[in-house]
Parts: sequence; C-alpha cells; structure tokens
Amino acid sequence: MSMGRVVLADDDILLREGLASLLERSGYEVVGQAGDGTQLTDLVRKLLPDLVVIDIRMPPTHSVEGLDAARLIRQEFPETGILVLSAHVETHQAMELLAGGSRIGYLLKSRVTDVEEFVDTLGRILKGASIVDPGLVHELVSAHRVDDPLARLSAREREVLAQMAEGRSNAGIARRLFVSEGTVEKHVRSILAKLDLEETDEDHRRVLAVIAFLDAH
Amino acid sequence: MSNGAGAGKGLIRRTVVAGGVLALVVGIAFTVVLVAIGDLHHSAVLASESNRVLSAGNHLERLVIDLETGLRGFLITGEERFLAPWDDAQRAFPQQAQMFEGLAAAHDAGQGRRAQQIAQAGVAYINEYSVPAVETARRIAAAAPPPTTSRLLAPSPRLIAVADEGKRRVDELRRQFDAFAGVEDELAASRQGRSSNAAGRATGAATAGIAGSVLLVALFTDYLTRTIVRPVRRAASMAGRLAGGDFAVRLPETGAAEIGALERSFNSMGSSLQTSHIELRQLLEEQAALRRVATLVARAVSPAEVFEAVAREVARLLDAPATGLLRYETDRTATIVALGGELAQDLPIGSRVPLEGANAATSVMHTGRATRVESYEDAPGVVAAMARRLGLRYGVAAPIAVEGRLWGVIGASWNRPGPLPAGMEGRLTQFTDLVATAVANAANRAELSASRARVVAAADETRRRIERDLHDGTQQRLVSMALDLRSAEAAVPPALVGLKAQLSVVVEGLTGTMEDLQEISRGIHPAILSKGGLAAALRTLARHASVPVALDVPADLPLPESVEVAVYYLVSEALTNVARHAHASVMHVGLTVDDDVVQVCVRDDGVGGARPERGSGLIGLRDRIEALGGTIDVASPEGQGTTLRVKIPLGAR
Repeated sequence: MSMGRVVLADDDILLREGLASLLERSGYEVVGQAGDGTQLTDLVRKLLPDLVVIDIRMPPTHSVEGLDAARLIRQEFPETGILVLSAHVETHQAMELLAGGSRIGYLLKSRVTDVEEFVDTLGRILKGASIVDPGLVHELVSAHRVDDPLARLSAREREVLAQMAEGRSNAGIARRLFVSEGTVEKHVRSILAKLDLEETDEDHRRVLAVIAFLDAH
Repeated sequence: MSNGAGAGKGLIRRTVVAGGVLALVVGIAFTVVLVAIGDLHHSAVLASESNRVLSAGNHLERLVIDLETGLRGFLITGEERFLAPWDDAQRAFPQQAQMFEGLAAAHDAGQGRRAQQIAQAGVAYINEYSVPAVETARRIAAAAPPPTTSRLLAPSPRLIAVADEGKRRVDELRRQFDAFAGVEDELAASRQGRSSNAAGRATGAATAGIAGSVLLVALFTDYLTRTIVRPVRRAASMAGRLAGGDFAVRLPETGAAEIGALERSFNSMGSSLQTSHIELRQLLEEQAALRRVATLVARAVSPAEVFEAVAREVARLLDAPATGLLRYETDRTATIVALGGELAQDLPIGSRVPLEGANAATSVMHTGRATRVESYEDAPGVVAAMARRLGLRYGVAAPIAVEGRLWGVIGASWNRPGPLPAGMEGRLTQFTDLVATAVANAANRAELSASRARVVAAADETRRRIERDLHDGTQQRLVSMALDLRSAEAAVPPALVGLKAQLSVVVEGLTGTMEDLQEISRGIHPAILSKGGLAAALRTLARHASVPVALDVPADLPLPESVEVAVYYLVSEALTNVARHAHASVMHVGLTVDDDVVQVCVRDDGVGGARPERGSGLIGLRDRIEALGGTIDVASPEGQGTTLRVKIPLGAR
C-alpha cells in the first residue's frame, strides 16, 4: 500500500529522477513525470494523482510556470495535494498558493535533501495541511521592524507563531514544542488577540492570515 | 573743405570790412579833434604874446610918465634930484621901445605899425620936447638967483607953457597907447572867438566820433551776435544734448561762412553719432540675445527649447515678423522645428515642407551657404507660397551645420516694403553655431545616455543570466547530487553505519552550499522583482536589513523594469551602507510617482558624514540612475543622518 500516488514536474531530468527515487524509497508511488506545465496538467487529468510536486521554474519562460500549473490543478482537482518547490521563496507566492485552499505546500527546493522532513511535509499535505517553508517563516518572524507588533509577544509565543506560520496544527505544534495541546491553544489565542487576528478553524486560513500579517508589518 | 576755405574768407572779409569802417570813423573823429586842439594851442600862444605886448606897452607908457613926472618936478622945483627917474627913463626908453616894436610887429602887422608910431612919438617927445625943456630950464636956473620958496609958488610963464606942451604930448602918447591896447583887446576878443569855435568843433567831432564808434560797435556786435555768438551757442547746446545722449538733435544750417560750416559739421557729427549709437545698441542687443541662447545651450535644455528661443530672438533682433528653423530630412523635405515672429504663430510646427523650386531653404541645401530671396513674388515652391500667403515680401536664410554635416536652415522674412537690408545673412549666421551646438550636444547626450543605458542593460542581462544559471544549473545540480547521495545513503547496508553518516554529512554540506548560493544569487539579481514587483522586493530587502526599515512604497506600481531594478539596487546599497557605517536606529524608504517622475527618498537617523564620492557603491548606482535620465543627491551632514534622494523620469522612456 503506497502512501500516495505522485506526479512530478521538473524540467531537469536528473533532479526529477533523483526526487522520484527518493519518493519511491519513502513509500510513494510516482505515477508520472512531466517536464513542463502543459505535460503536468495533461498527466494530472489522466492519472488523477493524490499529490503533485512542481518546480516553479519550467519551460518555456522559466519564471512562474509551476504556479500557473498549480492554480489550474487546484481549480480542476481541488482534492489533489500540491507541493511547489522554488529556488527561492517569496511571501507573495506563498500567499497566492495558500489563498487556493488547503493541501498546499511551498518549499525551497533544497529542502528535499532533508529526506525525513520532506517526507513528513508530503504526509502533512496529504492530510490536509498547508505548509510554508520554514526559512521564509524565519525571515518573516525575525525581521527588524519599526514599532514591531511582535514585541508584544513572549518568546514562547513567537515560537508558536513561527510554527503556525509554517502551517502546523495545534497538535503538531504541541508535539514539536513538547507541550500540551491545551497550552498551545492558549498561546494561539493570546497571539491572535495580541496581533488583532481573527480565530479560524481552518488551518490554511490561519497560515494565510499569519503570513499576510507578518508580510504587512 | 574747399567750401569751408571759401567760407573762411567770407567771415574774415566781413570782419576786416567792419573793422576798417570803424577805424575810418574813429580816425576822422580824431583828426578833427586834433586840428581843433591845434587851433586852441595857437590861440593860447597868441593870447600870451598879446599879454607880453601889452605889458611891454605898459612899461613903455610908464617910462613916458616917469619922463613927464620927472620933468615937471624939475621944472617946478628946479631941483636936480627930480631928474633922477627922468634920466633913468630916458636911458631905458630906446631899448624898451625897440622891444615893444619888435613884439608888436611879430604879433600883428597893424599893431607893429602902431607900436612904431608910438615909439617914434615917444622918441620925438624926448628929443623934441623933454630934453630941450630940461636944458632950457637949466639955463634959466643958471641965470636966475638961487631958487627960493617963492619960486616954487610962482613959476615963470614960460615954464608953464613948456609944461602944457609936455602935457599935450604925453596925453597924445597915452591916447596912442590906449588905442594900441584897444586894438589889442579887439584882436584878443576875435582870437578868443576863433578858439571857442575850434573847441566847439573838437567837442562835436569827438562826440560824433564816439557816437559813430559806439553805433558802429553796437551794429557790429549785433551782427557778430547774430552770425557767430548765437549759432555757436546753439552749437554748444547741441553738443551738450549730444553728450547727454539726445542723438536726434540737429542745427538749422542757416549760418554764414564758417558758422554754416560749423553747423553742417555738427549735424554730420550728430548723424554719425546717432548711427554709431544705433549700431552699438544693435550690437548689444545681438550680444544679449546670443548670450541668452548660449545660456540655454549651456544649461543643456532640450533642442526644441533652444530652437524656439533662437526663432524668437532672431525675430525680435532682426525685427522680422516671421522666422523659422527647418531640419533637412533625407527625402528632400524639411521639418519645421521652430517658428518665431507674430506672422508665423499659426504655422504647424513639426510639419514637413517639400524642398523644391528655388526657395531659400532649397538653395541653402544645395549651396550650403547663406542666401537671400529679394522677392517672393513669382518665386516657385511651397515655402515661397507660404511666405506670400503670410504677406511676406523677402527674406534671408543661413545653413545650420552640425559637426560638418548640413543639418538644417534658419530663415527670416519681412513684410515691409523696400529692398532687403544688407548684412542680414551675417546677423542670422551668428545663431547657427549655437543651434548646431545644441543639436550636437543633445545628440551626444542622447548617445551617452543610450550608451549608459545599454551598458546597464547589458550588465543587468548578464546578472540575470548568471542568476538563472546558478538556480537552473548549479543549484539544480547540487540538489540532484544531494538526492543521489541520499539514494546512495539509503542503499548503504546497515552494517556500514560510518559510511552512511559520512554521506549524510556530505549532503548537509551541500545544503549549506545551496543556502550560500541562495544568498549570492539574491545579490546578483533580484529575481523576486520580476515575480512580485518592486514593493514585495523592497519588503524582502527590508526584512533582511540589520536595522528596522519603515517602508512607504505603494503596491502595484506600474514601473519599467529598468527603473525597478535601479530603485531596488539603490535601496539595497543604502541598506548595506547604513548597516556598515551609519549606526542608525531606523531607516525610512519612501517612493512616490508624480508627473511621470519616480522619487525615492532613503534616510536614516545615523551619524551622517557619508562621502558618496569616495568609492562607495553609490557611484555605480549613479551611472545606473543617470542612464535612466535621473538624478541622485546625497545629503549627509555630520551627526544628522544621511538622506539619499533620487529622481527618475518615466515619460521619456
């Protein structure tokens, strides 16, 4: 029983093969590989995978073809999980992806080399989480700000905020920080109150709100 | 000057004639006076002689009386002592008489005869009476007894007769003396009358002479005043007004001789001064106009502005109602680039006119030299027709050569009658060099700017390519290598734990390298710009900054990529500098777009004193910004932070 059926999209065959081999090793079934956005969407329509892993830069222009393909797949197959890999991560791209709903991930391409973490991420996406690259989150949380609103948060609250921004659920944060889920919930409420953010049941909305807040301040 | 020489004789002759008449009048008057004075002198001499004659006569008369008195005394007393004066008188008489005779004769012939008669009567008295009487008396005395008192009282009858005889003779003599004196008085009276006449004549002559002289002098003075003094005074007043700048003043040329010449000279001097003054003013106006245009050229304003200024200045300077600048095109047409003068206001700038017929623009194109069209009547071509429609009669045109190549033509036309004034081409030509310089400068500037832009664009393209190569090539290779290593690591048998760990370390090393590469590529080219726009890119920059950055940048700016790249690098460089040198606690980055100009202001609250000219990365930025036609300005007063202001125009690009 495979953990999921995956379609890979990257114009670099070597990397694509490497990634496929990693996923196969990790229990995923790579059902198709594509070299550009058009091939990808064709394959997705044909194979109906559980998850697509997309390089953002692909032919013909090597700019944001992966994002376009992701948007299209999300429209046609909302239940398909999407992980977008990028040579560099940007908040506006993250927000654009997150705005499309849950089961979305956005990572630096180099994250694939940390196999354990990568596989974990794929699993969480398939379970419905929305994931933002921890490097980007770190950049957002640790930035110097004028009249920094994060100054109102305690150190623990900042840690929790970063986990929230990466797309972890309260349970995931509790596991990560070795505290109880109740404690996390308390922190989360406090954070949302301090930053004047609305509470929401949907994880991906929470991620989007936090990222948007951090980007705007 | 022959005219002046002839006139010179005229005035001198007039003066000589007037002087001669005056001298004649005065001479006559003086002659009359001198003659009268001579008469007076003669009268005075005659009067003196008359006195001496009368005195001599008196003296002689006294001698006669002395003779008679002495004789009578002797006759009566018989005493000899009474005869002493008689003796003296008798002895003195001849000499006295002779003197009297001489004086009288010298004085007047008639009186001389009378004096002679008196003298003869006197001598006769002495000789015929007095001396015999004395002798008779002596004889009587000698015959008679000594005299007694009775005798005195009783003279003899004979003696009485003698005495009577003497008395008669003396009376006769005295009567003659009186007559002489009477005649002499009459003579004196007549002489007095004559000398009075002479004095009267002298006075009259003197008066007439003085009056005549005064009259003549007055007339001459009046004449001089009218012919010399007044014109000279007018000339002096004119000279004063000339000196005061009134160059239009002129004298009536009515004066005689040299004065007329003076007036003519003054008038011609006034004319030439007026001409010089007008020429000088023209020259000054010309220089001022050239200076104004040159200032525009030096300020590197747009060529269109220079063309417009030249057309306007030429219209004003040459008083031309229509001026124009045309640029030659390659298809035998010319484009109107500027117009000046009130008649050319409504013509369409930028429109093309065909170069045909024999108009000035065509002629200049063929000859490359300034040309003049004496009349637009019957002149062929569109330009001439245009000129005729505006009522223009004639004009001049001069070529504008830019760096040895004929670029265009400048022309001026007039609508007033009369022939085309000389020298207009020359005055027109003075402006062509400035126009050429402006055109050449603009071309050079445009070329420089384009060249800078090309350099910057080429550099940007290179950076973009390197960044892409890094990501799509190097990083992909690294990632796939790391994946391969992970595969290898997975394939390692569990027994070889050491190898597994080693492979893991290599992968982590590769991951670190990839992170470094990330940082490097971010500095080489902000890929985010092309994806998220300037605002997002600046936010990312700000988040990486070491000091808090207050960003005031509107989202969704429709800016050209070259401007976005320039602004991104500017802010990036400023943030780097602040982190290194400023010791600032906060930074403000503001960006506004107004009137097609992007203005960026980056300021910090650090220590200031930044020296952008000393090898800072800002120099490269200056090239980048100036290539876009923008400006960069750094203010960094010591202790008051640093402010960077950049303006980039959008319109031209």
